[in-house]
Amino acid sequence: MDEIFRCDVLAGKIRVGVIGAGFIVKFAHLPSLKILSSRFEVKVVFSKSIENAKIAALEYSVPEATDDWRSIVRRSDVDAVIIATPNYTHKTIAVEAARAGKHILLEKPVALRLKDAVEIVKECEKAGVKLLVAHCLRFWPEYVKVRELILSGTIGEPRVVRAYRLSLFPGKMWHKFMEFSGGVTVDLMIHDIDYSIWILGDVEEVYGVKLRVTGNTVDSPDHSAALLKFKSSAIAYLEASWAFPRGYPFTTYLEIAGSKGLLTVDNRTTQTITIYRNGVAESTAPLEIRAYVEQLKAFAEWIDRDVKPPIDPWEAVKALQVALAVLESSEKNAVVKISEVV
Amino acid sequence: MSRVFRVVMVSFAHMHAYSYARVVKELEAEGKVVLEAIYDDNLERLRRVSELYKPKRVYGDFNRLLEEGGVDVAIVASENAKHVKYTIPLLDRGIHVLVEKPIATRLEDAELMVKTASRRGVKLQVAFVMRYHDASHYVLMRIRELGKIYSITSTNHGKCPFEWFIDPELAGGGAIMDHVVHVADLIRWYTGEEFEEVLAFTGRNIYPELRVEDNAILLGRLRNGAVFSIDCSWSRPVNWPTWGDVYMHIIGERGAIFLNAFNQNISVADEKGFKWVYYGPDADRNMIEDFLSVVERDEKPRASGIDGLRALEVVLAAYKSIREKRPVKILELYT
Repeated sequence: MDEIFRCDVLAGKIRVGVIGAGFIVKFAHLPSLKILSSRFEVKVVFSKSIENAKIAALEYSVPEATDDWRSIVRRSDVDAVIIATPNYTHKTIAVEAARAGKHILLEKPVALRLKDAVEIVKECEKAGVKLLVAHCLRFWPEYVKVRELILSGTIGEPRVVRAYRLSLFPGKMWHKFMEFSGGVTVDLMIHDIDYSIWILGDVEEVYGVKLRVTGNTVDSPDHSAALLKFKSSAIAYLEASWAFPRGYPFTTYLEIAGSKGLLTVDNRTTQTITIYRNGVAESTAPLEIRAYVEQLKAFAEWIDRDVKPPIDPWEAVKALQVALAVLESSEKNAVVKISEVV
Repeated sequence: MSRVFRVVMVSFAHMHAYSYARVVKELEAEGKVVLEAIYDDNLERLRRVSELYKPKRVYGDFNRLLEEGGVDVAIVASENAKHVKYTIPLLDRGIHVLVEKPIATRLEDAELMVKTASRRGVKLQVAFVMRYHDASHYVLMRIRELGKIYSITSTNHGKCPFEWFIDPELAGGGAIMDHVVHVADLIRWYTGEEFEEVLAFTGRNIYPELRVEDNAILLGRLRNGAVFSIDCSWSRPVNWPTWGDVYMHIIGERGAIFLNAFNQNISVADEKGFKWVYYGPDADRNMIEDFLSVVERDEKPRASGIDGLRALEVVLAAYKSIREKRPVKILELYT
């Protein structure tokens, strides 16, 4: 395995149960666990479809598959769980996992309601388990590098931020419903919300708009834009969309103007590979998996050596609060103060 | 163009005037126009540009220019707040005017300009040069294919222009007054829809010494419910490789269009550093030629005084929104 992925083997391997076998698990978590097999031992994978669970288990050499997530939480030979189920199930599973004493890597958003998010974090604190909410931009190479540049003062104090996250409809049934996914604002924009808070500090107030553009959703907005005003008096424009047409490549853009300079990074211009095959062009930067590996490594370091990861659970709660403020603003058509969102 | 128009350039305060004068000189060389006169209230600048462009007559006194007349069309590129005081008397004397954007800094000034042109039956065109840029014009030709338009995200970034642009009285504001109107006009042009409502945030200034805002972002709605955003910030540093951008992405029911109008550049590194050298369309030339053709054929300008007024409404609604911290309807400007 590549040098950057190699870690020292400590006490023993962290025994993991993977709860969920959807896109992010197959694309990111299982491959990353395989890369980090010196730190993790995957015991079991769950999907509510047993066939799907078995396929994932076969593909990634996981010894067991199940369609009963509670059986994973109850297992004494599991130290930690990765929860990557639909957003609306996060709270129930995470709370039970915490009470069972499992460390948790929880996909974003932490939950769909603020009180659920608070409950998850408090339960983890009470149980003394580690909760890493997978705001993966905090591990994403260009986003990490941008933060380093900001912290080193390269562009002075940040003043104006722009961030896009533009994609097709993710295509799962639960994304179609607001009550299951939170819509594109809570599911997708939350990445850039969390990242901009990491860079700029707390948000003071927001204004947002949301739309249903395609017929793909039932009541979830599939396009959302927001203006954020930070306590530092910086401002940000964030846009997240599931409304782009078929064939559109997943696009991220980040720009930060500061008192002494400007930086921009655009994934449309930073791809290192393009493959033309069967009439389709596929562009990528192959190291994209690295972010998930780094995220899991941080999780392992936290569990094994108590090294704090770059995201505190309460920050994930904060990101959810801002996302909910954007939704509230778009419903009221008014500027919403974050302190008023409870 | 069969007629040889006598052109007066009124003020070189706005840097675009130099490009307009360059076009006029090109057209003069082709026998299509004559640079009849230059007026400027800054006598040092007047001397400099007169030497550069060699008009037939030179005026430091606007009234004398008006008295002596002998011009057919005027290009007004003064400070924003002075547009009205030059444009009205020119229009009143039957002189067609191409005025730099924004049309004016106050609604009542813009309205008076529109009414005067209409009453006198002369052309008032606003220098919405993006209507003459090949790429942004191409969007107009293709946008129908998207069907219903849901969302338009746009930026018109630039470098801080300093000089009078940062004088609240002469400029009428900062980055919002300077940069919102180009893309606001494109949004109206593309959709055929009017603006309904605007919310704007401005942050702490990039240049703390300025008395005007140097950054702002607008988020709002058109009358048909489509959402739009405009980032008008002067956020490009002095040493950025190009002056700024005009960018849009438009989402419709049947697809999306991306516009990056000033993306045609050659990357150049020399002893002074790194920069982009633009090789895209000469929109200024297209615009001035069309203006003369509109006058010649007595047609409607591609970007009229009304278009200038509508774009100014967005600017003024944005300022009101910042003062009152709430979304502002365009109609509120008239109550």
